[in-house]
Amino acid sequence: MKYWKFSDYSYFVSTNRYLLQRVFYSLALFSIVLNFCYHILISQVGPNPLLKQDVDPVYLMFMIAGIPKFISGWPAPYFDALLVLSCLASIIWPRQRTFPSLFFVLYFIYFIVYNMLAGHHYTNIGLMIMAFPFIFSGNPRFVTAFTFCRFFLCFMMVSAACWKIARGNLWHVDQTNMLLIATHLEALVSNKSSLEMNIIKWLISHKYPAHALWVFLILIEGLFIIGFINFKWDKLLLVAYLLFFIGGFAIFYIYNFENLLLLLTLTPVLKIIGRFNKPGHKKNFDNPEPTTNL
Amino acid sequence: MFSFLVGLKRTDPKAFLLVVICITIQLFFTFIKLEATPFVLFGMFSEKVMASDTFSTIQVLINDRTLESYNPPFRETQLLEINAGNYIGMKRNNQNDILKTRVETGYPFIYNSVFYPFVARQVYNTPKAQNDFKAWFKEKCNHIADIDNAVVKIVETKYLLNRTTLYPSPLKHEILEVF
Repeated sequence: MKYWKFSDYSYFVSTNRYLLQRVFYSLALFSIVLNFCYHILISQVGPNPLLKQDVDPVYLMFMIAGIPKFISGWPAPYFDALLVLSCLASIIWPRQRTFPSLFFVLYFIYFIVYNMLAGHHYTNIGLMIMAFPFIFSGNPRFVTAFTFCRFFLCFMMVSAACWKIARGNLWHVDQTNMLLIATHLEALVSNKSSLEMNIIKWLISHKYPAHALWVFLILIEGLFIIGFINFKWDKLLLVAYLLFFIGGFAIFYIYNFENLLLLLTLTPVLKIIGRFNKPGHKKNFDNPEPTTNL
Repeated sequence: MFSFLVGLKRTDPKAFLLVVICITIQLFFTFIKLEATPFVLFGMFSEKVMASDTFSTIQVLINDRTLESYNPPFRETQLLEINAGNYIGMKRNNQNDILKTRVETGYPFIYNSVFYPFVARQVYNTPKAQNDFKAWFKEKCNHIADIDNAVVKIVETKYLLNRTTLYPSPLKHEILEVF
């Protein structure tokens, strides 16, 4: 199978917009359900009086406007319900632009307010970024924003690699060792015995293999630079991201399901989604014709 | 990316301009290390951690049992432990918001501006908010433990790690707050 050119990519995204929208909002709904199970919807967290604002201007504007205090008060259940309903409505009526726009605004507020209530500014902005293209009514703008999300994914990963390399992580062997101990300190204190803990203990007592794993994770991040060049290596990028996600979660408890949604912009995922479209359209997914004006 | 930008410039100059502005802002903010959501910095875990054998943790105990022993969801545990740490951080800073101290010591041009008194009233956490936090935090813990009036403690423990056995032995155990 030949790999996609940019014109193929934009043609596919353009012609499968409603299918993509349904898939994206179904995953967004799943993410909200997960948050409900984790007890982290605004109404479940409640009005935490100590808000984490930090120096981010957007968070400071929210503080000045009094939004977190208000949203986490009596309107919280209504806010959560509206978030779920706008997501559901975006699945049911994919041609309506109002619901995706409403969802985007509500999710943006949810993201900021939750981070303030949670006391930490998490960087799991994948869902919020991916909600952006669906607010556009015109197909060319939608394709542009969707493609931009793909480059955002690549930037996010490459930027993370650059930060680590620039701060000397590649040659700092103690980094992994210290992070492993700090992450698993309580498990070490309770002397837990499980396969996972045995692996962690082995990594803690063997600095160099542990550091090699850290360097491997940095290389996986850096690999995303090829995503800026063409679509040829998207399958590799998909596998690399999944490895990064699993490795990050298993070893360092880094959990950001929301960022997985950015994988929707990679061609292997798009091809899988394309298989669920009408049978008549099917041949286009393997060999789409470059008919877009982009 | 190049063909994307070239095609966009040709077909939709306004969108092209917006994309270029977004890219510039993101790169500029990354360069000056300013986070302005959605222009987020992705530098997590990159700061160098120096080798040491002593470690400290801030833990939440509900009726003298750890938070984890009640099996709350992973993210809820994180939320409570981080908030406990923030509360202790503010308490140790003489009940002042840590951001307030940072701004007033490091950014005199903001501190001396005419807008500062108004902004400061809105932006910083107050000692009253810190007091109200206790009730909110205790309610969350009661809910997790499914108890009406649990005794909630925030404790700090310092450990010394034995590199051979990998067992961290407690050096100092201090109760920082009891609700």
